[in-house]
Amino acid sequence: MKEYSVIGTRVPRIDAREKVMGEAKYAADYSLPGMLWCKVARSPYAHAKILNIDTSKAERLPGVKAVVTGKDFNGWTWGFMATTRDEPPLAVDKVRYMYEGVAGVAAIDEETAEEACSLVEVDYEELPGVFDPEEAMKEGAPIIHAYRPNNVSVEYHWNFGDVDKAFADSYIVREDRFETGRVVTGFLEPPASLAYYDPSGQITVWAAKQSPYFHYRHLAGCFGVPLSKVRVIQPYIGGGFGGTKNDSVAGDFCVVMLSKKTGKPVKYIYTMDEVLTTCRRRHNMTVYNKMGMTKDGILTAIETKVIGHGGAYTAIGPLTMFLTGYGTPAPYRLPNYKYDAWRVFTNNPVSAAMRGHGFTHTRFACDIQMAMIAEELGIDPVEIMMRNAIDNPKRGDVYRAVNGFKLKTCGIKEAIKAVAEDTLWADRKKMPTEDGPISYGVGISGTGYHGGARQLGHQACAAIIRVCEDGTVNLLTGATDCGQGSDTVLSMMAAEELGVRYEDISIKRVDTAYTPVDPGSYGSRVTLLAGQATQLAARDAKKQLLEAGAKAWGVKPDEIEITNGVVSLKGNPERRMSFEKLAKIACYEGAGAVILGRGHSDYGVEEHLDFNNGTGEGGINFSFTSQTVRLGVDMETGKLDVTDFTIAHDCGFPLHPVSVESQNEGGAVQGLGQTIYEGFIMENGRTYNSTMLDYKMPRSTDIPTIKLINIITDDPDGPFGAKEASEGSIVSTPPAVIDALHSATGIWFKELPVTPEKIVKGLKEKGKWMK
Amino acid sequence: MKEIRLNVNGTEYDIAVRPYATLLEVLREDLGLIGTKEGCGEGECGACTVIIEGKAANSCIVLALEADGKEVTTIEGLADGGKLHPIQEAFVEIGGLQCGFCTPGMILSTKVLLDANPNPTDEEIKKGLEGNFCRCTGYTKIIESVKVAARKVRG
Amino acid sequence: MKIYIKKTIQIPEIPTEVEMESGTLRDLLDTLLRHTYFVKEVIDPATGELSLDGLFRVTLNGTAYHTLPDGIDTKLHDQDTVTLTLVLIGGG
Repeated sequence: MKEYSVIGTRVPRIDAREKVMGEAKYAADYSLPGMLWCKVARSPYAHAKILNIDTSKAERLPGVKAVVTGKDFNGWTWGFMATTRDEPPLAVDKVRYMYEGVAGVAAIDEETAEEACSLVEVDYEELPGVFDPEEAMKEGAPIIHAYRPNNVSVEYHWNFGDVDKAFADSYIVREDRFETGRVVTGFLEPPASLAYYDPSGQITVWAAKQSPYFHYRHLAGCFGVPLSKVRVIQPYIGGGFGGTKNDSVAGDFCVVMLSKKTGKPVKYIYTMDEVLTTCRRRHNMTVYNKMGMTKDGILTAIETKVIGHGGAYTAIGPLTMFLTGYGTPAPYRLPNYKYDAWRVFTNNPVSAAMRGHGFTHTRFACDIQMAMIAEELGIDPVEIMMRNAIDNPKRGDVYRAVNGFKLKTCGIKEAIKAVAEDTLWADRKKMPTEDGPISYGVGISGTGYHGGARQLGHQACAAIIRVCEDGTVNLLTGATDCGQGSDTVLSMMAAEELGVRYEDISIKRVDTAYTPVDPGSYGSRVTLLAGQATQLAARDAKKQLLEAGAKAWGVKPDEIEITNGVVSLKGNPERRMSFEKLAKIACYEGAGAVILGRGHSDYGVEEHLDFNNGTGEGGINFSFTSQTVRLGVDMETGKLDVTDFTIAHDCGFPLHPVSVESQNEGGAVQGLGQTIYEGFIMENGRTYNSTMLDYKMPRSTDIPTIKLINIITDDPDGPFGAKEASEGSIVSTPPAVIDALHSATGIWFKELPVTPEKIVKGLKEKGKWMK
Repeated sequence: MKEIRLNVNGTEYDIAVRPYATLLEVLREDLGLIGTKEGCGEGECGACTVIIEGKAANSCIVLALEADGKEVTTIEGLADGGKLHPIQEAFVEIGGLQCGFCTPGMILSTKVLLDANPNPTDEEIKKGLEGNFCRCTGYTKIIESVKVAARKVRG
Repeated sequence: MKIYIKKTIQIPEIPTEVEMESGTLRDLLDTLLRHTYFVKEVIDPATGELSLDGLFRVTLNGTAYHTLPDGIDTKLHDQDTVTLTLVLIGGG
């Protein structure tokens, strides 16, 4: 096993001090003199034409400085793909979901802005709404977007091998319907931005964005300002998890427009109610899954039909539906695969990306169906997983999935073995299965998730290493730490490559005026892509330093090594100096020099994504996770007590073990929340549980004891062998929980969230309800 | 406007506040103490936790008037100049945080817990922090941090 | 002449093949793109001309059009295949 100086050690997070002291500033913590406050006026209807907007009363309210409406944006619209940019900053001719923004107000304080919003008079012509995708696809349904008269946002039809023949030849074929829930990222910090539109034509914003460069492009396009004059400064971010903070919201555009109109800085902070009613949610999906196996439990074919509930606009939906089908051929060998998917518009809040993007829905269905078939065939669940699991390719070999993606490492078998041998699974029959009304069960899952997202035109990034004259180092990248710990890991990589100590690295947060472009934090790409750029930048800086050192010592550069801040001759370690001294020599010799290292990620795109056919490489490598869950079901009330998780995660190599553990623990608890607690209660486009009291997310008293096992496969494509460690456990948790529920009750629950009501209903139907 | 005297982190402030202003607003906007955060604005998430006369309180649902003449501690009052409080040290060492937004509230709730119960069990820790929501960490390292903090505080 | 059109993303407005009397790649793209929902993304507001840079990669029989001697004005022939690949840029 390779020994590193910094990589693999349990250093404290690089930003921990500021955060525990309350010194870390988030978007809402910034203020400028003369600042105005912005509030967004919102539609009370889920689907309605806007006939007229009268802002005069609002404008006349004392303290109000400006009001903007949809028309002020001159028909500009945005969306992830150029072909489906159907979303305006504020609604123009119609509103398509309840509480969609229709006007923005800038006033001297929040209360005045809010009052002014209630004075904005909008003449609506209410239209019939459609809230169920199967209804929305029917002839005669209300049309949400004129350019998609059948309300189908995107549809894909992929076909690999021959599923019909494979099913015909199968010993057993199962067809089941699954539903994933209406859930949201759940970040604690609501979106916020402070914007200043400088009269000379420069835009500066401090905005809570995990992809600041997306927002920078949005602002340039929306306001017709060149990119070089758009400055997005990234504060600390209070959680991202994908979706909303990878995108822009109505408030973002309003504050810039209002600043342009008033000449003053303008700030907005969304309320949690606005977050839970108007911000992006995970797509909830209906999955019709058909799976075939031989008598020995070997997978023959999978045919999946998915209906994605898209909500009112397209956003990143086309990619979501691609990823939903993309990952199915892993971690189990799959020779025949058919995927048909429809993303359908409804008059509900917009569905977009979230941690575990796409894969969560189909891995949930496939993993459970495999367990169902194992039960029918009388095959042990671990045995059936092992019979189908993809083997870890030998170094130099590549496993190609039926839809074309490649795996160079695959630790699923090791992961399954690790959790199977762990006491939670191994001794489950010795543990109590009943305690009064509580019935205990243990479940298992095996899943995979891709990392290092890369798509055509979308994934380039770079890093700069600046060696200061005193031997300390600045790292600049455009990569965003939204809490996951990437700043820490990138700093560790820079320190390792340069040969300095972790404490010598100071990483600067993103400021689009100074940092190199980077797509930001999503698709588990920062550690891999920005990490590689950081490594290369560090090597470039090191080269310049070694050349200076070589001159000073009269040797060749490759005769010198740097470790832990000490520079020495490889052949004669007695000949040494401090890194600080080398930096001074490099910077001050002759006329002096500036040591700047530059690195660009060079992963390229091997096979670009073909959304229509389902081929292409969406990422760089896959992580694999196997998980066991122990829980108790109260057979009278349906209440759950989840006691234990054991998670074995193959992240290639854990670069920062503390962060890997935290990510696995956090992802698993978030996944647990989305399996048994969380779900928006919707009716006709209205969200009924839009408070943290009623949209229940796990608290400290809800968590199980979590045991983590690292599976190390050292992937050749990841920096220092790394693969992703952000999303694996949110994919592995739901099927493991469902399997545990089945173990405790004998019932397969296929619709999330599995609330106590659903459990009691299920128990009653099976005659197992304990009164 | 009402005149009140707030004692925050040992410093007295005489300020005029609107009668319906919350303690959270006054701390952040009037006193510039931005360490206390607003999450849900309705007393559910604990991001706005402060300590008022030794008890943890959700400052977003406490009127500033109610804190008149009382001792208030915010996260800024814990460290001694540059020296971290043992609880803060523990959170840094163990890594009981990720995005950090819940952290000020979590640390203050921890202080109240340990002041009353210097040697809490895991269950007591979980119960003591139940009012502080965290989405990032899954709470596991937070609980570990509190155990280490308890040892440090006990000395 | 029959021209085949391949796409890597779903664009219902653009068919998989068209019949043309004669014409260049520019004529074809103009016909295909000017009547789509997203026409405002591909037209330069200053010139009114098609502007595909940074939005679409276009290849003619596998070759990027801007490397061809006549570029976008290359004459099309029967059975030619034009492939449209969307350049995905978050926020673009």
